[in-house]
Amino acid sequence: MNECLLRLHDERFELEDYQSGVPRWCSGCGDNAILAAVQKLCRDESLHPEKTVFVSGIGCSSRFPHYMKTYGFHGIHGRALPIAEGVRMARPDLHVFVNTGDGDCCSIGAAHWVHAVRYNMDLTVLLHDNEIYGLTKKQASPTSPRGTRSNTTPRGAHLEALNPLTVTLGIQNVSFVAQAVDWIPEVLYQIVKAAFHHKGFSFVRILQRCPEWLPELFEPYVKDPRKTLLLKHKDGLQLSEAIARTYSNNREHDPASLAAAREMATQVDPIPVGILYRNEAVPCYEDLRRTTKVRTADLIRSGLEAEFDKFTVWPCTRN
Amino acid sequence: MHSELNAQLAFHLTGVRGAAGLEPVEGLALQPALLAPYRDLGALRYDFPLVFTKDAVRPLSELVDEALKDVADERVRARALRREREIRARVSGGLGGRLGSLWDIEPKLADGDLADCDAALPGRFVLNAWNRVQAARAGAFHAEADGLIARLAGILAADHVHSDAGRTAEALARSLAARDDSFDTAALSRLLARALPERRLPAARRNRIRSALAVLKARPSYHFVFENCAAALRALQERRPALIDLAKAMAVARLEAGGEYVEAVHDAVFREFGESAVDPALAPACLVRLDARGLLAPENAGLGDLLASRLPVKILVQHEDILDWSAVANTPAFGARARAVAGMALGLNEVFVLQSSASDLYRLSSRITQAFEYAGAALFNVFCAPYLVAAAAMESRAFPAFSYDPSAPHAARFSLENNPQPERDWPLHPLSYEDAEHQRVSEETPFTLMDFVACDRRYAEYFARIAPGRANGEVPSLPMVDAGNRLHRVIVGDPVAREARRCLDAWHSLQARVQRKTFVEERTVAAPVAAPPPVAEPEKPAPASDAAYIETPRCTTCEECVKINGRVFVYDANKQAHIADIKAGSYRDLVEAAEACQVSIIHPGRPLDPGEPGLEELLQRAAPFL
Repeated sequence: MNECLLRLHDERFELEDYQSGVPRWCSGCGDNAILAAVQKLCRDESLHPEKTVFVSGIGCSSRFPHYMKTYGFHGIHGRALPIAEGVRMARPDLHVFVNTGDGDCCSIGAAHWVHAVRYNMDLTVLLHDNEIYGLTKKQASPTSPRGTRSNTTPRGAHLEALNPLTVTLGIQNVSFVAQAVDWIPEVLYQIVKAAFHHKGFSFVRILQRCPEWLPELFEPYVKDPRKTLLLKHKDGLQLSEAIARTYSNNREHDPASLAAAREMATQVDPIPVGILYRNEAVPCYEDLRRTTKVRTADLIRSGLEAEFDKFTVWPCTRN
Repeated sequence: MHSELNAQLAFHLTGVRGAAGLEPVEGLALQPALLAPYRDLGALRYDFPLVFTKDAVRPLSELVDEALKDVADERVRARALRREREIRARVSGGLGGRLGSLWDIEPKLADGDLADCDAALPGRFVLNAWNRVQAARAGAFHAEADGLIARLAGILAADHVHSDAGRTAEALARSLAARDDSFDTAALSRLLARALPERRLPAARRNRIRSALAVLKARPSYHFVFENCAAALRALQERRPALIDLAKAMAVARLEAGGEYVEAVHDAVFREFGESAVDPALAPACLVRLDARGLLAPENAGLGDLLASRLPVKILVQHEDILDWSAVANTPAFGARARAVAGMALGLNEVFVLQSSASDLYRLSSRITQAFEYAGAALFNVFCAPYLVAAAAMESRAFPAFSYDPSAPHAARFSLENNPQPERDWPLHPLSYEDAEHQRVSEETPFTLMDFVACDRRYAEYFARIAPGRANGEVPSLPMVDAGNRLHRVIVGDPVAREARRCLDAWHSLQARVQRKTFVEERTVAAPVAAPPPVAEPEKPAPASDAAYIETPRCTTCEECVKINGRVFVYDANKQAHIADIKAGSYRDLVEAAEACQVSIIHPGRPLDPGEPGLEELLQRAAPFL
C-alpha cells in the first residue's frame, strides 16, 4: 500500500534541482565533470535532495557539497569517511556520498580510508585524484608521480606514487573498486551509477585533470584514446557503440575476480578504466552492528546526560 | 484347485468365508510383512521423540548425534545411546517431560519438552512454528511502529519549540535544564518572541500526525489462536475497523516521517482507505486448530469462509481416523473427509496447502514456516496417529504428503517430494523370507492401501488367511507375518480392494498435478519471450565541414566555453555543451573556445562573417580543430 502511495507522489527531478551556486573550481577543472555526472545520477535515480547527503574533507574536491542542493557536510581534513560512517549509521534512510581528494584520503585520512574499506559501510566514495594538492597551490600528494616538481618537491617527487587501487584491493572486506577518468563522461557516469547501486563501500578512483597546476599530466591520455584501456564485462562496464568505436583499446574483465582486479590495478599505462572488483556478499558494518533500540528523544537525552555527567563540574554553592 | 479359487473369489466378492482353507485373521496378530522389522520401535532410532527446544524442534537422535560427534570415548557414547533409548521408551509409553530432567549425563544436550507422535503433536508443532514466525514479524512491526512514534513525536516536539508556548521562560528553562538563575530564560523568551515570529506546522498536518500517533500508541493486543472457525470469524470481523485504522495510521506515519505526505494527492487516498489497502502482513496470522470429527455443517461452512477470505488465517485440520465409513452409503470411504478438506483448499487456488502425517511433520518444518510466512490463508491437513500407523498412512498413499504454495511460480507450486518413491504407484520394498525348502527368497513387494487397512483390526473381516502357495492372480492378496515372524498369505475383500483402487486413482490425480507442472515448465521453455532486436544507434548526419559543432556527448562540463561566451555555448539537460546560437558570438569566440576546450571537442568550422577583424590569424589557429 505504502509503495503505491509513494508512487503517487513520485516527483520528477531536473538537473537544476541539484545545482547549488556556480562552482568556484578553476576553468577546465575535471571536478566539473564529476559534478555533472553525479547530478545526472541524482536526477536519473530520482534521489530526493532531502534524502541525499554529500560528505567531504578538505581540498578542491571537498568543495563538492557546496555545489549540490542536497544535505552536505564539509568536514575536516582527512575525516570525511568517519563523518560519513556516522551519518550512515544514524540515518540508514539517506543516500550517502563521500567526495575526497588524493591528499585528503591517501595522506592525512589514510588510516580512516583503510578502516572504512574494512567496515564496508554502504557509501559511495569518489576519490577525485588529480595527483597534486591544488587548493594550496601545488604541493606533491601521495599519488603524485615520481619526478613531479612542486612547491614541496622542487627537484621532483622522490618516491613512487601510491596506487589507491592496489591499496584498496589489498584490504580485508573490500567490496567495490573502480577507476574512471573525468574526460570520458559517459563511462564516468556509468561507473558512478554502478558504485551507487552497490550495497557496501564503493570506491571509485577518478583520475581528474588539474589544468592549473598539472596541465600536462593527463594530456597524452586525453588526446590518445589508445592510452585508455576500457574494461568491459556483462557484470561491469558495457560500452556503447560510439565509445567502443572511439576507445578501441578495450578488453573483457570479470569484476568477480579479486586476483584479476589486483593485477589490473597495478597497470598505469594504458590507464585501466572500468569496474575492477565487485563482491555483493561482503556484509556491511551497519547491518551487523545497528542498534535495534528506538532512538526516542528521552533515550538520546539520557545518553547525552550520561556522557556530559562524566565531565560535569558541579558549581560551588554561592555565598 | 478350481473350488479353492471359487471360494477365494466368493470371499473377495461377498465376504463370506464359507469353504475350508480360508481362515479368519482375528486373533492371529498379523501385520503386513513389510512392517515386521519395525515391530519393536523402541529399539530403533528414528525422528521421535522430538525435543521442543527454545529455538527449534529437533529429533532427540539428532541432538545426541550432534553432541557425540567429537566424543571418542566409547563408554560415554554407549551410555548416551542407552539413555536415548530409555527416554524413547518412556516417551512412547505416554510419558513426556523435559529432556533436561532426564538427561543428567555427558555430553550436555539442549533442554526442551519431549513429544511423541500422538494426537497432541500437530497442534503443538504448528503452534510452535506460528510462535516463531509471529515473534519475528511482531518484532519487526513493533520496531517500525515504535520508530515511527519517535519520529512523529519528534516532529510535534519541533513544532512545539517553534510555538509561543514552547518559548515561554518556563519552557526554555526546562529545555535548557537550567539548574539555577545563571541563565535568564525570561530574557531569552522575550528575545526569541521579538526576533522570531511563531512558525507552526499547518494545523491540518499537526492534527494528522496527532491522530496517527494516537492510533499507533494505542495499538491493541489480541489473542490469535482459536479452536473453532466461528470464533475466528467473529474475531476477524470485530477487529477489522481497528486493523484498518492501524494500517492507515502506519501509512500516514511512514509518509509523514519521510516528509512525503502531499495533501493534494494523499488526502483523497486516505479518505477512501479501506480493507483492500491493508497490507496482509500487518496483522498476525490467526491460527485455528480443528478436529476433523467436529467439521459438521456450520463449522465446515466457516472453514470454507476462512479459507476463501484471503486473510492470513492458518488452519490446522487434524484427522485421527482416515479409514472413514461413508455417512450415507454403508460402504467404506477411506480418506474421503481428508481429501474433501484438501480439495476445497486446493480448489480455491490461493490457499497454501500442506498435507502430511504427523510422523513427517518434522521433515516439513521449512514448508510449515513458508505457510506461515505466506500472506494469505493456509491449510495444514494432518493425520495424527502413533508413529508406525502415521508413517504407514503415508507409505501406503492412504494419506499422501503434498504441498501447494500459491506464491511460487506455477511450475513449482505443487510438490509431492516428501512421499516415498513418488514416481511409482505404490512404493516397492524388498521382502526377504525363508521358503518351505529353507531357501532365502527376496522379492520386491509393494506397500498398498490394503496393507494399511490390514493393520486396523476393525477391518479384519475383510481379510482371510489362505494356505501357503494357494494365492492366485485373480484375488488380491498380501504377505503378512504373525508374532512369531511366520509368513502368511492373506486375501482381501473387494470393499477394501476397491478402496485401494480409489486411493490409487486419487494418487494418480496428485501425480497429474506434478505432470501439469512439467507441462508448464516445458511451455515456458518452449516459448521464450522474444528479445527485442537491438536498436542501432541512429547515425547522426555528419555536420558540414564548414559548420561549427561540438561533440556534445564527450563534453566534460569544464566551463571553459560557457565562460568565453555563454550565449553561443549553452549546457543541455545533461549539462553538456552545445552551440545554441552561433550568431550570438564571433568566430574568435569559437576559436578561443576550441583552444580552451580540455578535451578538444569544439570544432569552429568556417567563419560566418568574412569581414571579422583578424580573420586570417584566427583561421590559422582554428586549423587543428576543423
